Amino acid sequence: MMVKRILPLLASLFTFAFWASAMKFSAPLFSGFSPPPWLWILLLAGSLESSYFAAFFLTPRTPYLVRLLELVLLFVPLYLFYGAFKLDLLYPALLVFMAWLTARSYGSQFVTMEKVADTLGDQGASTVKWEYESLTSKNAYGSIPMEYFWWRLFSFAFVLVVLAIVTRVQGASFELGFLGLLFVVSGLMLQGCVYLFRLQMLWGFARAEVDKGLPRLWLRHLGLFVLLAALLVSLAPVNYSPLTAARLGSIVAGLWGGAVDFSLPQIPSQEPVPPAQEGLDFVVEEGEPGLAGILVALLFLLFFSLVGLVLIFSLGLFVLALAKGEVERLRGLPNLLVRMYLTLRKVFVSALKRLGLSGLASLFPDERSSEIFTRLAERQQEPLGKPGREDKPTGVRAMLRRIINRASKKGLIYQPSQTALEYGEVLEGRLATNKATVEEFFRGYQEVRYSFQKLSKVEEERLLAAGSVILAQIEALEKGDSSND
Amino acid sequence: MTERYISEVAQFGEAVSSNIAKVMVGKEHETKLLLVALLSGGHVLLEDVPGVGKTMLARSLAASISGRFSRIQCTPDLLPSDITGVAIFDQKQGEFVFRPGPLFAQIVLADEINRATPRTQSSLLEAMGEGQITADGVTYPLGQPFLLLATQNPIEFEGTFPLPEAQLDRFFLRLTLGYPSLAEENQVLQRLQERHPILNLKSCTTPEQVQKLQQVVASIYVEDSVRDYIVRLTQSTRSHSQVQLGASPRGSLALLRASQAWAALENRDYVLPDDVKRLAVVVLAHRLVLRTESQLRGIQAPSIINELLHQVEVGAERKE
Repeated sequence: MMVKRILPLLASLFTFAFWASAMKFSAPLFSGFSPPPWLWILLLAGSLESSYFAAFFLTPRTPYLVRLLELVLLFVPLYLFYGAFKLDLLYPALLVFMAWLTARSYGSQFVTMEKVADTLGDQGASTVKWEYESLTSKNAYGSIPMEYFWWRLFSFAFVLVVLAIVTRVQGASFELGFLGLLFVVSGLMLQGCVYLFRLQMLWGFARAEVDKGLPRLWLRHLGLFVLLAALLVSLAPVNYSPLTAARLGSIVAGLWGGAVDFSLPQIPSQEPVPPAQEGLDFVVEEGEPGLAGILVALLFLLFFSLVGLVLIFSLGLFVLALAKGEVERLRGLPNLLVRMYLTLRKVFVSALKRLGLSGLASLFPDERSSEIFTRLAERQQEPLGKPGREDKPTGVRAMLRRIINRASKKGLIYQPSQTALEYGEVLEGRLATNKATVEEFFRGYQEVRYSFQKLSKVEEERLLAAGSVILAQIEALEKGDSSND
Repeated sequence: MTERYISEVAQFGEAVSSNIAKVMVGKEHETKLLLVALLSGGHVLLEDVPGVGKTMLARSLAASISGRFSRIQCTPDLLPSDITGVAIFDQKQGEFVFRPGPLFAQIVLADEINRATPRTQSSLLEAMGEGQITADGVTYPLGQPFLLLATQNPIEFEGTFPLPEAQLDRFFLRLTLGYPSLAEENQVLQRLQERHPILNLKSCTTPEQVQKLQQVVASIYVEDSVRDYIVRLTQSTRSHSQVQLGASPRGSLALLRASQAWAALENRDYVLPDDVKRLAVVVLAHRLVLRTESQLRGIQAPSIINELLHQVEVGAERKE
């Protein structure tokens, strides 16, 4: 299976990126330690070997001698490169061992994920829906495979952030550069591929027939998404001037103190920029103040809006490609994403047409969009138990609406699932008026509403009079002295 | 359709109910539901413990409409031909002659239907769905009106074959009779002390009259919003989280027919949402297949229908 072959590679790259970053950050903490080039190679080689071996060859019956041999093969080059067995060797050895161990646990997790039958037993396809749901929700019985990967991604990122802060406190540079990018890209790719792998396992177990092109499509869209994320990470400025944390802090402080000053502080450009303080300080270089600063802020806003739109567009496209023929079944956020995607697409196409690029616009046929819109709308327009709109009623029906409105203000709320007769019974129990009047009105109302026969003018007036009596009784009610049980 | 015809239905309902009340004590509501099924051309599944009067209800109904009554005691060795009929060789005529089975009656009681094998149960499908049976390649129409009353015991499952969903769906209503109250049981003992009242039960109508009233019931007016309510209610069973398989369109049709019959028995020429609400549980509950986890948690189909009745909008007036 193609995904199974890629997964250990991604896991080892992610492991390498994490441990190499950790090594880079922690280097200044150990005076005199500078990571040699061969150590990077060893970290990567150790991760690759460990994850692939665990994913494809390691079994519970693998002799311990083999595992020991693996470690020996890893540590002997380390010893040879270092040239001597010294105490300084311990730190790089520990790093290599940790990377090897991390990659090993990933590889073992892939094997565990393959053993779907162990967790599902012989329940077959009926259980799969529950399992599928468990991909996105918490399992009461223990950690589910997806959680394992999420937690690792977040906790590793957290460790890196802590190390970066510690390094900065020490006064060293904390730029990640290529390693940071590799960490983000491999981490996100790993998440996406693991999800696909899990689904493939379940489909295989349930013998579900899934489009063979789906994994390829999945990977293509995942690649696109990760590429966008990588672009965002690489291009996004870390200096959000003039909206710096310090400036926002001062505005908040001003609001708190009552002296609000929304204008940007004027810093003369001739003045030297104050040096960064020692310790943890996120204040970065100030931008050009005044009008130029606002323009820069607007440009940033525009930039992030564009990035957001691109993200929504790609996510919508991704969801739509996955849902395919079952688009009308989408609900909630996926439904919203597809709708937003279609709207953006429509706007894009119409913009192309206005610009006179009809040839380019014809590449995006609008009929398909409108068809999907209709299918999405069909589902939306018919939610559970919602009747369609109808003409505004008059006469006795309008009187009942008035009764409902007035009674609701007095706490006698009409439930949409109640019939008129049921609501009449509620009123009967609360109002001081003659019960026969309430009954007469509601019985008459039912005839008006549900019978094909028309009421005579006299009967209608009689019912309206009964309705007026009920209205008067409702008015006489003290608010709060009645509640709808 | 004139008011006279509607009042005929109401009179028929009162006459049959009071006739059956001579035998059955305190089962007026169940009797009315039975009449709803009869007037709608449906079939009834009576699910209750032994000895509460299931058979007696069927017999008294048959006696009241002077229809042919037959009883099938379902057992595992019962064959389809035992109930549909069999072709036997007539030596005088020198050819095979079809001898009709107990299904050729107007009121048929299939006692303990879940004791019959699935093969025999399936042979009832054609009779229930189309009012005819096919034997040796020849199709024979059944008597009209045709009402199949099947009983099953909800407690004892050993040696039984649960009815498949397809067959359950063909039952118009599922009823339970329940135990009588203290006073009612006392009255039953008094009545049966000397002679069973069913032996003296006189008919109060004819099968032909029932057929005519069936046509009257079918013409009861159903306003668009009520029909819409029925459809929404049925559809909501399909998307309920506890339900694996919701009610079929046959279920919504049954609810419509039952509501029409109920309205006619109430001497009304139009259906109310209240009629739908009153009948939803008996018409729809047995058509739902619950999820295994819901069954294990002890959730019952009637409670799901009741829950939906409190969720689905009736479509009466709205607050502005």
